[in-house]
Amino acid sequence: MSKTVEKSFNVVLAGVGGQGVILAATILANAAVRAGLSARVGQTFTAAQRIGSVSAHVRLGRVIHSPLIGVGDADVILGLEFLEGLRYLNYLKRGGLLIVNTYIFPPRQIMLGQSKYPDPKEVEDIVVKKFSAKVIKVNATEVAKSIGSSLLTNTVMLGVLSRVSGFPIDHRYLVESIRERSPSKYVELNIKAFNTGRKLIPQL
Amino acid sequence: MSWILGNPGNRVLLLGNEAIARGAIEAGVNFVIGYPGTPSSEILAALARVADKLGIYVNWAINEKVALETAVGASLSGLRSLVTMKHVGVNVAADPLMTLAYIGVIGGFVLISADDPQCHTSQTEQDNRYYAMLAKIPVLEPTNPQEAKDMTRIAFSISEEHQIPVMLRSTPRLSHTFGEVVLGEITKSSRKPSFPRDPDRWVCVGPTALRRHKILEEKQNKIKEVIDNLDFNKLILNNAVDIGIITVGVAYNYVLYAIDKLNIGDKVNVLKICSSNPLPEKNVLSFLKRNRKILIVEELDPIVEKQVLALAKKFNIDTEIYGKLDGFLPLVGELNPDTVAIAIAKFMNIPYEVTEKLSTTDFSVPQRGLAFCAGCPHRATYYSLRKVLREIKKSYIVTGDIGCYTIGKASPFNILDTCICMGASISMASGFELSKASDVVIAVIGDSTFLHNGIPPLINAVYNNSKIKVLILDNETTAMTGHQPHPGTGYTATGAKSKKVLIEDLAKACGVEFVKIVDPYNLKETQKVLREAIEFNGPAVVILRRTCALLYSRMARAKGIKLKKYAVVQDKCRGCLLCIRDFGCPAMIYDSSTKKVHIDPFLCTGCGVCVDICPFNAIEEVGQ
Ligand SMILES: Cc1ncc(C[n+]2csc(CCOP(=O)(O)OP(=O)(O)O)c2C)c(N)n1
Ligand code: SF4
Repeated sequence: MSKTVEKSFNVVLAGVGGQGVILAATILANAAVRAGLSARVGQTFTAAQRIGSVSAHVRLGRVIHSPLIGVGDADVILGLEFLEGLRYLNYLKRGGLLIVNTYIFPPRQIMLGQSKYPDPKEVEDIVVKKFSAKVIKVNATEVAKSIGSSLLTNTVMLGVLSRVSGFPIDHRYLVESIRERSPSKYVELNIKAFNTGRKLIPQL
Repeated sequence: MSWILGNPGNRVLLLGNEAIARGAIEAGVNFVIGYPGTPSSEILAALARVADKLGIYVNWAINEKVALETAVGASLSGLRSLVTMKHVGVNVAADPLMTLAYIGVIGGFVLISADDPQCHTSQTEQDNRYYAMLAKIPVLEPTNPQEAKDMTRIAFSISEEHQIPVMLRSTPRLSHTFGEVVLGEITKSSRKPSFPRDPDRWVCVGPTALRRHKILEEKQNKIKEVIDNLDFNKLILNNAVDIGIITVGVAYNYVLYAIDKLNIGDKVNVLKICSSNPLPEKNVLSFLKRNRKILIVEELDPIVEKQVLALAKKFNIDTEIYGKLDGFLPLVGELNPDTVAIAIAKFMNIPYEVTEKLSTTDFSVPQRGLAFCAGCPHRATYYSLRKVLREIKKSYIVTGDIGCYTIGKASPFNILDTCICMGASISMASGFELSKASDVVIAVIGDSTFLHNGIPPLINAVYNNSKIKVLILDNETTAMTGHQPHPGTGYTATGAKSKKVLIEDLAKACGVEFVKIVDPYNLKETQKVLREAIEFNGPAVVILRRTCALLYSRMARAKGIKLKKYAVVQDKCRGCLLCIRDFGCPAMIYDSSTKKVHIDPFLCTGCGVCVDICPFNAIEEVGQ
């Protein structure tokens, strides 16, 4: 049997309900399928309600079986919200990449003073120094708002992701996939958001 | 979502549930009915979107028992019928299912049971493959979306050929997994319904039942052979290796992942089977014979494992067999790549270090507790209920039920004492009330749940003269599972109009004399009616009617209706945090630098309830 874990590109997407985590995961996987690859998206449960933590495992590659990523096997954690990006760091592989939106949606316990924010500096120290991972912070929600709506955060983040080294899909397939899968009213805006996201970081 | 109608040969990304829907379409399904339940709901929803185009019947039923029985009628008329539900739904539908296996079917009959290992969205993680064994019907267990489609299609043929209902067992890692699927030919069905009248078969009592049981037993061997010969059973062999893994369904994916990660592809044989009832015996036997030891990896209960043990015993095979019974794999919770890798490493006696990972304890990320959406009418209801219960100075018990409103258990309301299954809020409340366990007993139930299984317990409360207070939280939809319509909404799964069944009429017809309807957004009125209901000397029903805020804001956006918006006048806010502590609307954000609360205009749905909650009148409407 051939080894396939290495050959797959594994991303954990995370955010809060209403941010379009699952749609972003679907767009990614659909682009991979269009490009002739195999893809799986494993979702964490989502009830109808907004606001809770939502995450999805996305696996892209030549042959993919498992819809879930093992801990420590993700190439990238893509956090659409700051705290959610940190929540799944146990999935990140050594030397992996954390791409995280700086936008914070404060949990109620924090506002009530019952718990504290993790110190971003400390987190970055641990991730970078102890784990030789890279961290990219982007203000995707601000960028999305400037394009037209905070709802575009997910496609801005996909644009950033598409610049990462080893990312296996040509960006043209992503644009096609956005066209096919996003709500028709938002197609053009989403493509604009995606292209803007691509310019937020240099090619890695 | 036109892709489920794509052309044969197309390779498309489908959700497992969409793949099941496509499989049914390819099989020429005529009749689809079900009751919502995660993770099954998207199957019927996907079919409803294309029903008119395909000319098939698709609708939601009031509950799973009714859904299954309705489909029996369609199948006996010769139509290919699909019934969808979650695992606990099969508990509700178990009664007709058992007899259906006896009488058999005419048109292919496929029952989707969407199980929920890990209780992601359920009250149990029961293994419904036992239902297939109990009813003596075959169960197919797909591994991925492609198989979900292909097995659904085959399930219809097996069902029709052997005149037996077939179960397809899913789990969230199938139903809610996206993967590529190559589409097949669509069968255009032109079946004319016709019921072969035969009371000696369809009136299943006494001697008829016994005769039908015999027929069911006689089918078993033939079906076993069919299952044994399916291509979905897969064998991966390495020459001269005598260690093997048997797996089934979604677990196969984790086995492959683990083998890969442990780099033991050339050191172990794998048999993946497609059914645990009947067990593909020939496949299993020859695998048993060629391996000195075997690990069995399956989701939930050790059903395959016990059968393999029995088979080995029967054929005097001394292969060592490991699995869940000896703790190699956990009996509780769902499998994942890591639990499976750990088990396989232990089984193979190879060292395994869990991949070096960042510990989540290196820094803690605060949890997001369960919370109602901004503007949720349930939040307003619970706010009032809590206020009233604090004021009445009587002991109380609040029995809960299943739906978005179960979140009332969580902070800030912490108000629900029980929740076991749909409808139980009302019956359990009667039990508490008749036992005199407290002064006041309140049952909280949603509209969809009331219709599903709340009516008989309400009649029973009246009949037993149990003075319970039933709050029906009517948000005019089945919200938790994705906003499906129900008989109280006046429209069907395909969006067609139907007669609206009024909950107030039902409550009155059950014999309840106190039936009142209030808008939970109106806190004062709600609290007044709640007090009256509590004081009323008899069973009372209060219907709290207000559309689900998430559904409403989506509808408003689609129709271009602007929602009202509210804002906190910063000068008036004293930062007391009462709104966040006692009400907890997620649109209200506390800014620790200004020590004041503001309302996120993007999240606010304009319910305006917070206006009445702020003690300093700091909240005002600010237009749209
Ligand atoms: C027997 C059974 N069928 C289905 C479900 C899945 N389920 C959970 S909550 C729910 C319905 C909730 O609707 P409603 O009572 O109207 O409450 P809402 O979520 O709208 O507040 C359903 C169908 C279940 N738990 N048990
Ligand atoms: S989906 Fe509707 S019922 Fe459920 S929490 Fe949100 S607003 Fe409330």
